[in-house]
Amino acid sequence: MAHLSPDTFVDLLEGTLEESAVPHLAQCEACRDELSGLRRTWQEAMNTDVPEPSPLFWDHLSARVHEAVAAEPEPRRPWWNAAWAVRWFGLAAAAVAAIALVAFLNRPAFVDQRTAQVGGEAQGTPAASGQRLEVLPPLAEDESVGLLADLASDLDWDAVVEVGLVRPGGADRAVAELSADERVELQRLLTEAGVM
Amino acid sequence: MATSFALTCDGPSGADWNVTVVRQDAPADGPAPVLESLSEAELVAACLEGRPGAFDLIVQRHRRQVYQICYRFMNSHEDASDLSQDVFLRAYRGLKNFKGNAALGTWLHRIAVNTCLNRVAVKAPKSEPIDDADFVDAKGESASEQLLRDERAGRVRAAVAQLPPKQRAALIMRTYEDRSHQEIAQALGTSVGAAKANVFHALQNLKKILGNI
Ligand SMILES: [Zn+2]
Repeated sequence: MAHLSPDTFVDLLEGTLEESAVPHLAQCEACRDELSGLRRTWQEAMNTDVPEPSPLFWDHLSARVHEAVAAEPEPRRPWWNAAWAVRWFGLAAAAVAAIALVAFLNRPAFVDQRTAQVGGEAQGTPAASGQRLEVLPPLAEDESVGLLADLASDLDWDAVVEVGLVRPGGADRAVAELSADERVELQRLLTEAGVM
Repeated sequence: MATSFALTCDGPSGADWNVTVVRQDAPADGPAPVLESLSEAELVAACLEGRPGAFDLIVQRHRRQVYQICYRFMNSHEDASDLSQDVFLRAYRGLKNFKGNAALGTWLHRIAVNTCLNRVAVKAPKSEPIDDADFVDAKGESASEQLLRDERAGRVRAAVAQLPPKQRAALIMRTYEDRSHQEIAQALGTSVGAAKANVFHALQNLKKILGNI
């Protein structure tokens, strides 16, 4: 006759298995004795506390840990997971996109044909040949964009395209492809670059 | 208040494009929240940012649990004290790897079990005298009751500390930490079936060591 397995004993002890569901118990005195002995032993173990140390011990332990930890180098997340890395990569991506955008805005062919909407309200702007960015009043008055425009004014548009920062006619996509976080960084960059 | 700019332009190639730049005020950085009010995950993040006192608070919150695991393993206040320090030091070193999938207490518990298993692999636990002066009794029992109770408890603790390491770990986790067999299996690197078998054999051996009770 096969006796109960360790697995069954543990299930019976933990109450996840009813004794009535194990017919062998009714037939086998050895298994019944084993089960009751294990049950008493476990109950005894459960009722055994760890002696409470002196109340002073806890602060002493904390102080020991504090000292040991103070001698350790500070824990840091891996650089690719660090908040600063995410922020700076985002910032770098936003800066590239912003410069590419401003370079695009400075393109004479673009400036000639643009229209602008400010605050969601469309404002038609007469196209004038040779006009630069500053003739777009609401945007030109924005010092943050103006500063970036100055920074990018020496940037050769063809060179920007050539190095693959943007595709011809694709500055919109360069911005559109930014993630939500990168767009926020772009906003922040434009804001912080001005006198805000 | 947020201000919106919407630019609509036609490029020379005829491709239409729209760029919307939303300008908004950056949120002002207020004072850092009090450490005590932080969740466990936030507390870990504060440690990783090097915020003073953050790890001290983790130690303060979990030192009793860690000490008790170590004590049950070693049945010695001195060893439990040393091991508790090791556990927290290892936790500090590994904090950057804490994924937050489990509770911090569960993570520390596993470090404690592993630290104890490593220790017992190189050192047999020493039994502690029952009337150790470092301990205090708060149960208000009579002296004779307390003596009998302490004597019996001391025997049980010593018996637990004599069990083979994996049986000991399984019994401690199941009996005193209420860990599931799945958690025990993960901590011990075994199957759930093997974890249950360890609990069973631990109880069987404990019964033999303690005799009929
Ligand atoms: Zn049987």
